[in-house]
Amino acid sequence: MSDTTTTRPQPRTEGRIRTGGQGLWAVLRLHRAAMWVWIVFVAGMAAAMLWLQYGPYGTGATAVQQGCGTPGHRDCYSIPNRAEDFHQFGGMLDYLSWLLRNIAPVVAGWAGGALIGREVERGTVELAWTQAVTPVRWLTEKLAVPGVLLAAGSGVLVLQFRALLHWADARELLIAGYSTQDYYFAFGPSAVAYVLLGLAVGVLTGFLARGTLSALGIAGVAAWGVTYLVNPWRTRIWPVVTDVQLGKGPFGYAARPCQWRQSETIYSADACLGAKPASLYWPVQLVETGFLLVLTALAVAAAYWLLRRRTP
Amino acid sequence: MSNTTAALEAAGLAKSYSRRKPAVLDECSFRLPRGRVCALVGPNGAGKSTLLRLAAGLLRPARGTLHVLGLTPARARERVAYVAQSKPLHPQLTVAETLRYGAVLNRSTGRWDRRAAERIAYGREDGEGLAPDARIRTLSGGQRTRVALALAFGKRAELMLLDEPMADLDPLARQQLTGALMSAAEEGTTIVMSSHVIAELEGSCDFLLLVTGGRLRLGGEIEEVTAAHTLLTGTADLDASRQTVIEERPSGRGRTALVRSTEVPDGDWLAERPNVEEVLLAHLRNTHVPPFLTGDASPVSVQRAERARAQENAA
Repeated sequence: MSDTTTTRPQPRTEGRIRTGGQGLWAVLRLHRAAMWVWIVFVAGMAAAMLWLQYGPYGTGATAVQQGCGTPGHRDCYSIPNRAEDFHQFGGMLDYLSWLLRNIAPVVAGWAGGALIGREVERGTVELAWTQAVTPVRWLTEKLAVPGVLLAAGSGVLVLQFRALLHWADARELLIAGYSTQDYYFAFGPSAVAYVLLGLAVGVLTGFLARGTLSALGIAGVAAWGVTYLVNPWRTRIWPVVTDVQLGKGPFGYAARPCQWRQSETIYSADACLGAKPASLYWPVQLVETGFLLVLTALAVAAAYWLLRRRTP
Repeated sequence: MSNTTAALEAAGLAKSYSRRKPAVLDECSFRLPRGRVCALVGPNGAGKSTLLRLAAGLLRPARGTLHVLGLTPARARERVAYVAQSKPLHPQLTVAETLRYGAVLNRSTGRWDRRAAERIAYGREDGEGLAPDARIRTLSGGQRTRVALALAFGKRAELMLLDEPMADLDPLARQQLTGALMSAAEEGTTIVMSSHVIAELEGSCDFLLLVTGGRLRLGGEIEEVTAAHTLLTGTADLDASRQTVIEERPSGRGRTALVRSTEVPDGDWLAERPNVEEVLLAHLRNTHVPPFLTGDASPVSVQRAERARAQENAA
């Protein structure tokens, strides 16, 4: 057999298959479950927003505020005692913005944790890393495909939430006060950046945690923790309007003025739409988006670094 | 790429998984020329899998170097196929999807051989292999091995690193796979198969690497390795200073000894050429004997040093 050392296997062209765009197929096929979790989340959120707008609470609340502020009617800030639909609408809107702002990144974190953690646990990473594709390319595909899907899904939800806010504002349905509201950040690009950060944190966790289950748990907690920790940071670096009377018509929306001096709480920026001038909206959004993208880049870089350290 | 580069060449290779534990591989130096079918033999936990994982570019050596086809393991990735002992596969995919996944992961080389992969997975005749739409999670261990090997064949690698490929195959599949490996070897593919079952490898391999306790004990063409040893049966005393005695034990009225020498010592001895199993078992039982590498299995650096020493001695 030693005299055959000079022959080298030559590529056989017959039997080859077309493989253009197949990296996409591979990632989607392997992570169908994670993809469906995200699709269900996006579809569920979209359906909930449509239901809120056109369902009983939306129509009921619109009826409560019908004609308010016009001659012969009460002003729009004095809500009558029997206005269950109006309060339910406000509560649901709070809840949906909270889901969009806080839970979407956790879902993305789970996706990222499952994406890597499951392959690490099963040993299939080694199957992938010993094929012709380099580990770096493998991770890039693993990040890019879900990254695009997550950004697209959360982008659609943010746009729909904005449309819902416009719709509610036109009908004098927006209230401010009493509870922590996440509107301010749920209807801008930072919501998408949070989701991408969730994915990056999840992927990093997938490498660090041993096993899928722990990767899912840690990724979820880490994604939620990061979004939670940014809240007070954001509130402190931006000027807070202390005179609640100045809170008329902020961010292009006509919200009710704040109910008390909310600037004293760490959530004041979220808590009251009226607490900041409209001119601050884009600076706050863009700085926050940039900050989150830097964090995302750091988490992704750490994941690549871990990968490089594990594979020669 | 020069074809004189070895398929594998290790110099002072060492790997440990933890600082506190002893090294899994230590001071491994050997050379595997191209085109050989090499048996990587050793007891459980000897470091066989670690050596293969180092060659597949899944681990970094702690010390020393390992060249694969003349390149670093990472750069040789697209020309090397590796089948891990646990045969990791995605359980939710079907067999056909798994083969497609292999094609996707190897699309950059343009060498993926779909027919070769399908031949291994589905077999040549009906009822021989697997159904394309069978899910991996429904397959038995041996059937999963078949899929893992199909991926390795589809890659059309120049070097195949197979960790315990035969362990859970039935005799028919084993025979079929051996046939496929032999035809790949005839095309010039170098094959390294690990096993702790020696009988599995006899007949199909022409090269041998024996690892025990993380160290390389034997290396070289099987013919040359067995030819360098002699099985002596007799009653006289052996002079250990004249030849390396691998193993000596009583047999009948006299004793049997395996020595590393082709000379028959003085006295009443029956000298026979041992078979590979006898040589391996003696080395497995007696790990204190000095390692033995044939010329082909010695790393180039060692060969060069030996040549220099010989020249010095001659001068």
